[in-house]
Amino acid sequence: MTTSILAKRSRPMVRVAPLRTICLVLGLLMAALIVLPIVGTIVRTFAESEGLSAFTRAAELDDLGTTLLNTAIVVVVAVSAATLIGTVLAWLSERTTARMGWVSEITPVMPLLVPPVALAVGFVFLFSPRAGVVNVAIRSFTRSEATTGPFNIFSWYGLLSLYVIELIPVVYLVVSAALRSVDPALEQASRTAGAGLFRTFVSVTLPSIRPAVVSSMFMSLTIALTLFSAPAIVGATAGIDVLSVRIVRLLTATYPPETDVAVVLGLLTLICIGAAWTVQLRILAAQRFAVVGGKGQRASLIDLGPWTVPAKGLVLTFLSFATVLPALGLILVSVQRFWSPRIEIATLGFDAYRRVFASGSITREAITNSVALGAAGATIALMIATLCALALRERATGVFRAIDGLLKLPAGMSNIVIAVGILVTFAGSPFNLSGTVAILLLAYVIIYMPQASIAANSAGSLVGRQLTEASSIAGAAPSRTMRRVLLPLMVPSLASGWTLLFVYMAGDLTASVLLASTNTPTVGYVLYEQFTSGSYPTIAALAVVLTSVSSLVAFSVLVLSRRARTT
Amino acid sequence: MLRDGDVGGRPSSETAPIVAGRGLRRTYRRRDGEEVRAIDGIDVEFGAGEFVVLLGPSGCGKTTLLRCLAGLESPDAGAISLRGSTVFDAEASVDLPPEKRRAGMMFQSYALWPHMTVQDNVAYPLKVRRAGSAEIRARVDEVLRLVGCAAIAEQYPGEISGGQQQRVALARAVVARDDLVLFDEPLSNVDAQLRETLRTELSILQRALGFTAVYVTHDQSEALALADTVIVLNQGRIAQIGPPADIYRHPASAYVARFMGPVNEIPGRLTRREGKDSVTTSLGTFDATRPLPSDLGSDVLLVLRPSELSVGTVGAAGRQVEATIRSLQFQGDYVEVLVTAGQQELLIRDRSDQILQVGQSVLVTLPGVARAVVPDDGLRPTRLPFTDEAA
Ligand SMILES: Nc1ncnc2c1ncn2[C@@H]1O[C@H](COP(=O)(O)OP(=O)(O)O)[C@@H](O)[C@H]1O
Ligand SMILES: [Mg+2]
Repeated sequence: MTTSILAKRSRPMVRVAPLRTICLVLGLLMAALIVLPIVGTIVRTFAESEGLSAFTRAAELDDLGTTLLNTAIVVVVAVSAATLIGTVLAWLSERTTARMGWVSEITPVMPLLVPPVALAVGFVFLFSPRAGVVNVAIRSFTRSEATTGPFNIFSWYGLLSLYVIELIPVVYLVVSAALRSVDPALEQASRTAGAGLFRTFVSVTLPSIRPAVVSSMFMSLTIALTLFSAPAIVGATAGIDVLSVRIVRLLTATYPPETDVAVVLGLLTLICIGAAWTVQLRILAAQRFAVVGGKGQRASLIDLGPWTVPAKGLVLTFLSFATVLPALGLILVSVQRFWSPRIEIATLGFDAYRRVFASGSITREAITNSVALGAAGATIALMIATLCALALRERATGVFRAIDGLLKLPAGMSNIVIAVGILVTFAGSPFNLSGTVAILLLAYVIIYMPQASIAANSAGSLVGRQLTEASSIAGAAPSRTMRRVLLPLMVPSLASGWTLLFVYMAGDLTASVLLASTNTPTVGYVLYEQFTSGSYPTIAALAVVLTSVSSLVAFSVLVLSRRARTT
Repeated sequence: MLRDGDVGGRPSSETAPIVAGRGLRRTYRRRDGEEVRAIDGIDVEFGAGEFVVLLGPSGCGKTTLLRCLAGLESPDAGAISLRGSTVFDAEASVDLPPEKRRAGMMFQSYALWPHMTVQDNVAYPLKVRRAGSAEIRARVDEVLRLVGCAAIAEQYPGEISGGQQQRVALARAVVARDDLVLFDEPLSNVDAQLRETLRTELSILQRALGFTAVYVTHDQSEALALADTVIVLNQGRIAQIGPPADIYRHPASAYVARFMGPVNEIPGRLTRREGKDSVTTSLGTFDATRPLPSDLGSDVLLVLRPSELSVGTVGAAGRQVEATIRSLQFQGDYVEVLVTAGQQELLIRDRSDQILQVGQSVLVTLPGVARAVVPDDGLRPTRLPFTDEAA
């Protein structure tokens, strides 16, 4: 394809000197904010604990071996399963008669609307052995005498299922986008050459989307290593400890916090991610991938014949497990007076919601904080990312490439490690940001900067270079070209990027669990803190509110940007 | 009237050419480190109202040259002046951005802005130059009518056909009445029939508005049809420059001759006969119609177009050789006949209705004089894969 050459055509198209300056300043600032805390933390850890003593104490942690083994099992099993299922689901709904109109359009985004912490809580309500809604329903349907089961969420398979459900959308999003850009003629050529459905999938489709599959695998591995919601809420009761939970516990459950030991465990996570990253590069470099022609034409769908219905069923099953069922579970518990196995219609009511929104309550404050942080954080992160994307588009030289890479750096690091770095650096003097909203905002912006950067870059790259050149030729000054042509065309993609960021930030748990406090609560923090002690209907109601806000924002943005005209 | 605060537009004298480029050079570094000289020392000068076509195979540097003129690309060396004033000079570090050069441009991908209606797209160059709104409306209406798109003014680019998009792109390129309009393969995305129609329309529009057109294409028939002046490029250098008829009839090199359509290349030696340059070949000696630039005795190629040859004795005003028919292809208006005369392959466009057969022995009539003679570059493209059999 010629786009790479066009992209390299070096004449800067939108030459706004201030833009470059701003980008440079922001870039340096972000560099400082991302790199310094981590490096500083590591250096400080080893300076203060006299060389290797942090390592020794880490090695002497109780059951560290079990924790590592558990983490390895969870990551390997969940990532493999999610990659397999996610790829198959993407293929089914992109390429076959299992495609279901708008349902297939929203399948990849739906699971994002239920934040991880809400999903985990929802699953507990559904599959808790004694009072789980599904378990109770099955037991009464089969007239079973047992008081528990048949399912138990507090188990290996329960934990793994949660991980897999969290990871599938990541794979699905990346792979379905790749599938959409593979010229269907490639597959049709294979079919006419006499290859069957399966053979074509394996020898033509899969190789052309392999880069996407490999990189989505890497992304889900990074997420799996740092996922905190599922292991904290389900794993703890099940007695399955993983690395991310250990790190948080070292920082929050002991006094004084064993920061240096936590940092050592964080380093361990970073090493795993680094190793995976190297492997990914190896795999991607070892092959010459088919050039994918961005034809954008709708493929004639592959007829699955009698398998169409089961395949549709598979997609719908995933959707219901990832969104519908947990949401129903949450709603059901939220309208009860207690979380009890028997549902009595007469006692149902909205008391829990009244408690959630009661003035002065921590839940109300948490909702306000999360929504405000989500909106502010998404806006700030996206603005920084957009400025840098514009500067990169203008001049793809070393500095701006470096800044671009830097913005994506947090994606390759553990969220928890970043949060620890920020905690260590900014909580105490001279910044004294401990227990403020500012430190949360800072953490959110840094942690979710990669997503912002990806959204801004893709928004920019969707606007063909000749569109801005045509404006310059017409006599428009660079600033006008940016205002009248570039930004308007970027708006729809920026809007969906903003939505994604809002949903991530409003539902964040990883950073919140370390940086929020009872003075500055967030929804994620309150859900986690109260899960062991609070009233279940209130928790459920809070999770329902979070999910509703996320969905509401997402759909409004979707509708608004659909209405804004772009063809 | 348009206000022009721009620098590019003021002629320094009445006779200054619209475009003058001197010693233009642009080198790219490929990803593997290799250097590509996209344009390599180009001098050009275009007058007012001239239709110039940059012609050459893909990768010869046409787009790079055009973009350098537009200001979308900066040459490494050389200077460009538009209407007599310098817009680029590598030594003096002058480099006016595209928006200050006052040239229209039509892109290969049309580059219509999808978020603006047809009308807004076309009005944009006028708005940018701060024309009054009444004037904008009048001018947009006029130019849309000129290109036959008045009815779709309210549509968005995504809602009109490819041919209409092309016309709108053309309208946008010319609406500001710049005296220079650049075209980068604007017709390469439409089917052959529409291409001919649009080509004619473009030609009429250019004469009506009187701008200087610089037009990039790799299609020699498009070049011949449109150009006042053709510039044939070869690996970033000018291979030949001149009116289309000259380039077609008197190519300066085998490269140009081959690029202008199918040719017969008959190797020979430059000789002199009765004070006139002539070419001695295996098919006989041909007098040149004009003095040849090559040295006496040097190896040359006599270039004969297939339509200059005929099969049989019709119009026997030339010289005839015996030949055997190797292949026949019916093309509608003519039959393409490939024959061998001794070792020499000859391609002939036969426009008679005679019945011919492969293997048949025929007389081929050649012209009596040598109109096109080029230095022999040693390349011997052959059309017959089985030359042994043919011998
Ligand atoms: N940005 C670039 N980087 C590297 N090489 C380039 C770039 N742009 C053009 N080239 C090379 O310069 C040469 C001329 O390109 P171009 O002017 O686009 O040719 P044309 O328009 O005649 O097809 C080609 O060999 C092309 O590969
Ligand atoms: Mg080109």
